[in-house]
This record gives sequence, structure tokens and C-alpha cells, in this order.
Amino acid sequence: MIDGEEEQLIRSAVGGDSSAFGSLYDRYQPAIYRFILVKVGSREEAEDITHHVFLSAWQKVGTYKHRGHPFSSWLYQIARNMVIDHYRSRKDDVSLDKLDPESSIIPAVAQFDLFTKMQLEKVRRAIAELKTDHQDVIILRFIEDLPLKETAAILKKSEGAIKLAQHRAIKELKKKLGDPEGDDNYENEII
Amino acid sequence: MTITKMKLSDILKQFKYIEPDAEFSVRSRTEILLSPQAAPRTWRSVFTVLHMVETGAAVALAGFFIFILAGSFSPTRSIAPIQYAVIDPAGLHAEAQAIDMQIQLTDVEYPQVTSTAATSTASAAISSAFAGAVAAQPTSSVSVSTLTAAPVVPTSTASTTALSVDQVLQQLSQ
Repeated sequence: MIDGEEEQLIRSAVGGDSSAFGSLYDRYQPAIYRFILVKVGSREEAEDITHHVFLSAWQKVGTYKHRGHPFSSWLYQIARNMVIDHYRSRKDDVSLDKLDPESSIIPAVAQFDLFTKMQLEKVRRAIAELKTDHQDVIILRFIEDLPLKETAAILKKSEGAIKLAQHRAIKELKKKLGDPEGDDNYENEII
Repeated sequence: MTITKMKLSDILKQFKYIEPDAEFSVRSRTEILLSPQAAPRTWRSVFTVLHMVETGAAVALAGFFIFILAGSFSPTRSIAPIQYAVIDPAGLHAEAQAIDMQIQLTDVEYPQVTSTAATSTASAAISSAFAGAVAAQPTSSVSVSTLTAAPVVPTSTASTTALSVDQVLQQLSQ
């Protein structure tokens, strides 16, 4: 649900008020950046894509139609499409072995100790190996803690389909991380 | 110890502490807000329609000129027919034929005029031979005097030779 302040900001931004859009940028830019960074793995690429997401949003905000979902849903949808376009433009499958050492989230998590950084990078790579829909579900549901309804709106699926997808995504992620049997307890904790 | 043995939820929660670089955020925000917004949809539709009309008109005009050039179109014939009506082939043909006739008649008359004196005196016998016939037709007295002017009217020698040869021959045959 969006509060009255956000609704007013959206209305002003749709009318072309740059300061209102600036406030929306400040509010949602970190989450959009994280969403992109976990998927692409490179801080530079994540910054470029994030910039283009908000630039596109600013240029198209006049056409925004409020349908009861938070403004972030619209931004996530733009970000999703831009990441897909980004991989299409690269035209080659990036293997984990070929990844540039600089292409990691480690520079973006400077505040953590080395062990935590390595853990985060390992998990991020495992997430990046999942299907796109599973990546999105894990990021939105388990990293950003978005409610089921908003996740369903962003991914344009039913809530039931999202529940099923997150079940499969967690199971797949655990396999990637070295637990072939998976651990359904974690998913149960989340849900 | 594997990650799955740890609390995976805790690890995933730590991703939320990832923050973009502050300098990047400020620079990106400024650039975005300084960039112009796209034109409203209605104006974009109008521009799209105008662009389509412009392109269509250009293609149609080019096709029209190609058709004209390929079809040997003559603008002087189709656009301004009055100014060039004299170039009518039938009229030209008739006029040319008339000019030729006059030239022929002139050519025929000239030696006739110059030889009038000679013929009028030298062919006195011929004229006298025809005198009877000429005298029988009072209406053709002028034409007779043309050929036989000297003996009849001495003052009018070659000045009245405007009669054509055909007429004279016709009269002679009569």
C-alpha cells in the first residue's frame, strides 16, 4: 500500500515536478540498485543500468497510471526489462569461470568482513545461475521482503504462482549451494 | 561449514545492506532530473502522423515525376494547348501544300511574263488562229489580251499577266 505522501509525490512527478521525482528516486534507488546488482554481479554495470532505469522512468513518468500498486512496482518492471535487454545485447553467455574478478558485489559491500563478503558473493553467483523468474522471486521476497501481492504484481503472475515459484527457487538455490536435498524449513520460516 | 548449514535467511538479509555509491547516486540523480522529459503522448501522436504524411507525400511526388519522365509526358502539349495550336499536324500539312502551290504557280508565271512580248509578237499566227475562239467568248477578252496584248492593246503588255496557266489552258480547251 502506498501512503498519502507517496501518492502526492507520484501525482506531482506525473505532472512533471522534478523535485517530486527526485524524492521518489531517493526512496527507491537503493532497492532498484540491489535488485540489478544481484542479477548482473558487476557494480559498474549495475550503476549504468540503474541510471538508465530512472532516466527512462523520468522520461515516461507522464504516462504512469496508478493501479493501486506502489510506485516501486513500476520501477522493478522497468529494471527487469532493462536487465533482460542488457543480457541480450551482450549476446554471449557469461560463465562464472570467465567472470572478471572485478565483476562482483564485493566492492559494494565494503562494510562487511572478508568472510561475509565471500559468502555473499557465493550466494549471489548461485542466485545468478537460477532461472530469471526464480532470481526475481528470491530477490523480491527474501532480500527485499516485499509482500506476496506486490511481488505478484511486479512479475505479473498470480499469488499462487509466486508461492510455487519461491518454493522451487529456494530448493534450487540450496542445491546450487551444496545441499542436494534442500531444506524446506527455511522457506517455511519465510512464508 | 556450508552455507546451507548456516541460516540462509541471515545471509540473504545481509544483501539488504548493500548501498549504491553515494557519489554515483548524486551524479545520476542530477543528470536525470536535468534531462528533458519526453513529449506528451498526444503530441507524439501528432508528430508521428505528420511524419507519415510527409513521407507519403514525398514518395507520391517522386512516383509522379518518375511516371512523367518514363511516359514521355510533354507539358507544352497537355498544359498549354492554346499557345501551340498552330503545331497541329493536319493544319501544318494543308498550309505546306498551299505554299508549294503558290511557289509552283509563281515559277510557272515568271517565264510566262518575261516571254510575253516575244510570244505576243512571235506567235501572232497562233493567236490569230485562236482569235476566232476568243472572240466568240466576250467574258474572256481580258485573258486573251494577256497573251496577245501587243497586237490588240499596245499599252498593256505584261502588267495584266496575273491569270494562271490553268485558267488559260482551260479557256484554250474551251
